[in-house]
Amino acid sequence: MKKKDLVIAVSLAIMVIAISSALYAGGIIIITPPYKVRDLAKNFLRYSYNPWNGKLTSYALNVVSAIIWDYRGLDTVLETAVLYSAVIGITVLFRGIVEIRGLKHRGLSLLVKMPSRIVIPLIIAVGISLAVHGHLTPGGGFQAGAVATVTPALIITIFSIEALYVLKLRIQKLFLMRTIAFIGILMISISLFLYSLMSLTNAYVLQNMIREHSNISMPHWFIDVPLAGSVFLYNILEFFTVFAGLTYVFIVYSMRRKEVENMWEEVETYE
Amino acid sequence: MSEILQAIFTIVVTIFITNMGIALYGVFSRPSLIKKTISLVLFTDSINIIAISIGFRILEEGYPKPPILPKIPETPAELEYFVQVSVDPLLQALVLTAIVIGFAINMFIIGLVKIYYRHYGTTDIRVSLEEGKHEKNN
Repeated sequence: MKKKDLVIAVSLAIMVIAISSALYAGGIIIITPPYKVRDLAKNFLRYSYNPWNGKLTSYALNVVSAIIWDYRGLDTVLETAVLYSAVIGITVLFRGIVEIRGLKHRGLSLLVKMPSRIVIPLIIAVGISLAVHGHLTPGGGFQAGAVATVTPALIITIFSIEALYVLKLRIQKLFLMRTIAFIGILMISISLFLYSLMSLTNAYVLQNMIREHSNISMPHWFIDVPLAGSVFLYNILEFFTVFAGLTYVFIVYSMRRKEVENMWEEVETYE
Repeated sequence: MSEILQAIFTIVVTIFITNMGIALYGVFSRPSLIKKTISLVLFTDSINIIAISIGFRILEEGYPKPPILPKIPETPAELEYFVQVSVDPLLQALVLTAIVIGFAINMFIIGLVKIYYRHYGTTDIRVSLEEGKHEKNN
């Protein structure tokens, strides 16, 4: 057993030294970050918000958001599908769970409960603002959803899982919300294409702004703020998918003994 | 100034490569599945930080800016200045995708660990190995 540990340690040390020396081979010991970014990155930076070149821009001030939802939009739709399939996998693993209300619960002391009552609405507000301003400031749909999911985790630890049931956050409802938001993302990605079929013009799937050979676009200006068209809508819907998916997983993982009892029976009959 | 920045950059990258090695050690030789999962998360995060650091750049004077326009540009020259001082946004976008996918995988792994715990009453991986040997002998 000790021999095995030694072999692992030595081989990992060799790996670390090999990767480091491969990275530093260009300079002498010190690795030098470049003075200029790559041409690809330059193009992204230049065209993300560029009213002087209408055919390549996406009117988003946040370049990362523009890349995620516009220039490389297909990647992100598939990434959302991966998250969705993980939630489905957890549903299959934990089949047979039932939510039971009215079990004994206490939660933490009043000293913890009172401040968290003040903090929890603030966290949700921060999450929503990150989602709504995702194309203008640092943030975006996934980050916003992850921030907002802190609240169910806090509620489960501080009050009890019963408090979530009182707030009507049931797992069926969350799963429905997640599915509707995911279908919404898919519908927005093909909405301009469907519109072009009806009005007999050209459009692409996942199109946002005016492109070559296509003259239709999502709205890119709302009163006096840049809206970035589909980036804004995707951010909002991604917020809902991530919030519903992660809250679902939190609830399933913090079920109490009486609620998961039936899971055992189902697994045994399956075997 | 840029020499100090380079030295700090080198130290940070080396630290995260070492961190990668330590995390892999945890994945290989810790028997507890929870500790294996934690090590896997650390491994992914170290790789993500190395990937972001590839997009880093230095300037002749001043510090590089994040790839977010501070205000709506009014002239093409303003936009060109932003291009000259900003870091690479593509790697940040790709790392965000990697984080989300890693998150989905970790969620599922933790579910599997919970099922394992309910079946065996422990998260020690050796228990299931011994049980498998026992069944083979019979």
